[in-house]
Amino acid sequence: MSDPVRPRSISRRALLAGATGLGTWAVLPERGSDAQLRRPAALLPRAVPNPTATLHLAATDGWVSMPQGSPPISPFWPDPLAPPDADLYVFGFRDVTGLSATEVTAQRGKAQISAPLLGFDQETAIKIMLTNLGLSVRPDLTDGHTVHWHGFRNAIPLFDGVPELSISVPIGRDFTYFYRPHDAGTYMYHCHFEDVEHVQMGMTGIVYVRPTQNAGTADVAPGKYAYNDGDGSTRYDREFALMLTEVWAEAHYRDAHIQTTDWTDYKPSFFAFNGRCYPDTLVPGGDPLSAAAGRLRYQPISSLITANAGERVLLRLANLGYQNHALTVDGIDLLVVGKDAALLRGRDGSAEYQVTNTVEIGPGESRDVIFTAPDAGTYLLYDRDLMSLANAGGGRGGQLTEIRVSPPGTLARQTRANA
Amino acid sequence: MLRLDRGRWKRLSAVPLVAAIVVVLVVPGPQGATAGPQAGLECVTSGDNAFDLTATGGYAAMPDGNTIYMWSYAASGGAFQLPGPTLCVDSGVKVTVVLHNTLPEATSITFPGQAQVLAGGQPAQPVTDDTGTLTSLTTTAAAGTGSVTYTFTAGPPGTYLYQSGTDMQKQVQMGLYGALVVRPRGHPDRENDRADSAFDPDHEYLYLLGEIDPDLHLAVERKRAYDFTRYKARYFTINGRSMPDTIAPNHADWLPAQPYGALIHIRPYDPVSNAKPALIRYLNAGSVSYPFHPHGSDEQLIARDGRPSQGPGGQDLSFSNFLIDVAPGQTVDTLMIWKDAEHWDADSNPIPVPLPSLQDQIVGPGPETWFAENPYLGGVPGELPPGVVQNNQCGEYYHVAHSHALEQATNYGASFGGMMTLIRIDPPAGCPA
Amino acid sequence: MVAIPFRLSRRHAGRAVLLLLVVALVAVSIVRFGGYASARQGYAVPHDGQLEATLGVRFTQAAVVGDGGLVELRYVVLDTQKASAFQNDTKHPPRLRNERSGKLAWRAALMKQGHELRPGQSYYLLYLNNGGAIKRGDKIEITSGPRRLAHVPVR
Repeated sequence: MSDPVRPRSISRRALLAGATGLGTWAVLPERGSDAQLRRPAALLPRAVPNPTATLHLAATDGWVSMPQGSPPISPFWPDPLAPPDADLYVFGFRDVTGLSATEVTAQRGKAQISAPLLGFDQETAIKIMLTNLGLSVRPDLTDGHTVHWHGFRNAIPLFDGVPELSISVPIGRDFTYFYRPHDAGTYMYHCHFEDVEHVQMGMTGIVYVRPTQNAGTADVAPGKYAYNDGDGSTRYDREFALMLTEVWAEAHYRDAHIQTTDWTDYKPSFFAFNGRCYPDTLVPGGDPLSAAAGRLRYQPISSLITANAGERVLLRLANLGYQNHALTVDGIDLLVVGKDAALLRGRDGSAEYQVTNTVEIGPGESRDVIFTAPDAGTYLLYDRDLMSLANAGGGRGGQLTEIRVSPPGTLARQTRANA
Repeated sequence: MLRLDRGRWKRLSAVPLVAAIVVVLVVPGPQGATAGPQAGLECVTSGDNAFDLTATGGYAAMPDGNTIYMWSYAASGGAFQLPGPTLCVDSGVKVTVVLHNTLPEATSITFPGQAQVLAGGQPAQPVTDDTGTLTSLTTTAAAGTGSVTYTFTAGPPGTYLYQSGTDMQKQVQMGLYGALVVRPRGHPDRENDRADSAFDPDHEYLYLLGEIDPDLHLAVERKRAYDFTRYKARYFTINGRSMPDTIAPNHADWLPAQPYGALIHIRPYDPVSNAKPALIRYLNAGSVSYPFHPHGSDEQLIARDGRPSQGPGGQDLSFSNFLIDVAPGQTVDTLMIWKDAEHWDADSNPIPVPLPSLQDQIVGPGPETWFAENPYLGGVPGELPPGVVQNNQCGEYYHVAHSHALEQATNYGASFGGMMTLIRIDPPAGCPA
Repeated sequence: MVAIPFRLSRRHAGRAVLLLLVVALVAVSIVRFGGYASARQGYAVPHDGQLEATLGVRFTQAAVVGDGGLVELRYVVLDTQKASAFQNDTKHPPRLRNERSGKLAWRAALMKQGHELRPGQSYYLLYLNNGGAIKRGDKIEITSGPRRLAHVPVR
């Protein structure tokens, strides 16, 4: 897990110490591409060196595990080709930052789902190197891979990851993408090479951008905010990212068994948060480099939500399935503050936050939702599309997780998302 | 007198003839690249806001070679086209639509969002048969040769569907749908009456979304029964076309019945020279939501179903999206721009990462790729080995825009097709023809 | 014979001019629009049996799209295996040469359409049309390895 990716050369605080003196932070635009800007565009002061972050991702195939005891979907699931402790063939990304070349190559055939959770500070110069390790189960395929930062505004084609309109990375090669995000919020990233296949196979993850406002402004104290809201209304104490995906077991089987799929027959069988289906969603996060994680080694991202009573919790919700989902929480009001990495405010600043207990998310959409943790206890967050609450059509499972609220002061300060 | 007149007539008649010859020589041929706008929304207008639509059958071409029997509308004096002609009127005017039916069954048109529609001068009403079963949502034109005249006062400015109201499950899927654009009076460059809905009228686009189950269309063509429980869409369309036909010009020769392209063609935002955004009108004529994802730029959602996104006090309640999830029957209007955020320049501000060598990227062939893959907007050609022809490259950018229910971004399962189009961004100075 | 000077009355001259103008208008119209009309109805790409046997595809259309910025090359699959090899051979994709100007368009887009191509189905490639190298009405030569297909009309 690489979350959060911190600026490497200069600490955020040092940077901001230099910047706040110039008094420019308060006028940063909330989004870079409003049709009509209501504030003059302000860039980082040129005198301040930009923070940087680098990351190394590898793309390959691998095997993961859906919940044990789910009804079999003969002959597609469990896949008879799967190694012990696994049952589903996938493609995916791995974070291989800092590994040696030999170690990186050794990750071939060890993809993870969901992809590493990435978080960056706004205005950071980000370099993401993507290495294509090839497909261990399908050496006959010469598929390229790409990183598409879904929703990145004012992208240029070279860094947008659409192979048909720029380039993709062949097996055994790498390419470095560059991003400098100017807009805080929750985004996604995925491979865009034959996207209907590679996205379904698991090459999907969440990437989010923290606002410059976190350093504090004239109006807002330093802290954790979802957006440059100017009034602190998106402040939170803990954050949890949930990537919603669907698994069409038949297509995964066909990919492993050298058969082709008619994608318009799409009919998913599993529904996941962060690559896991309930009850696996509750298992703590793991590390693909450590065998200790066992069955879920290559599904390292937990979806268990924990907080102390009274704390504000930010949910970063994103959907890279091909169907709409409606997330609901019984007994807790949800405040929707952002959609598609944009603060829900009109161009004249009018607030459009919504209080609800069901948040509908279409394919490719994201939502930023804040709730205040109520009295201690366990609350359920689940997909009100009840068909998505099953594993292979059977039992309770799918897109469901728990919100466990402890008495005030029980949990230590959160140091990274989903922890 | 008479003689004199005849002589003058002769002299005068020579003038228009000469003029006609000149015109014929000067006007580009029908395939001339400059003949009419190649991309963008095309309005059918009428001086008295009266339109003739003929419901009829025809064929639509899919990019994989399949040909689909469709029902749709022909404009007065025109041929069958999918979707029906885009009708444009001003808000508040009296609109007349005469529907002529040549189909083997009764049909009708509903105008969702328009109030008090009259049919033949009487309020348009749902139709039931002798047993009381609903047979049409509105007054019909009889099978074969029937016709019906609808009149209404154009409602608030915005984007609306018009579609069959009879046996809709089948007839709308067969293609009996089109777009109705209502413009604010006196402000043709606004989506609605709000000043912040202003757009560049040269960059107005139609995304009329739909889908096709070829089995249903074959059944209708062959007059066979069709079991709707087996409905499965295989083609997904914008303006009746699928990628790559979506990026073909309006009225492309090879798509005689699908005249409307869906290519977006803009230049970077500039506060002085290119300040006005493009306007995209999304309409969903299908039966499922289409989650539409434009790459490279988010869009400001300013109106839905002909109603501006605003509060009771006129507050702006528009919002920014990188995914526009259009519900069945819904219309969504967005403003979009693309900004050159980083101003990459090969000399003064080069991209901070190396381009991979040619062997290390999947695009071929040879050194020309570098040339074609210049990362800079309006980039100048790179150095080429001897013997390679050097063209001046305009260096425009292309981004995709597509349904993110990714099975819909296919042509019967083949990727990079279906409900997908391109956004073309030219250098600030434009692209030489 | 004594030559009689050929004279036209003014009236006749006027009529003749009018007639000539009418004929000219018809002729000019035919030249300007007639060719297009016949091209529209008769669009056909030449066939080359050897090329089709080698590549497993038949080219069916070359068209300028994307407001002149892209060239689309469409082909129908005849032989699944050969066509898949053709499609996967990203190092040696076909190139397009404008027979009028000699300008080239190279494959700029992969357009991989799936791991297996279905026979009888059409697929496409897109090319960047650098500097408007290829225009509507041109004829191009498609080169794929040693195989060439000449005189492909562009629409």
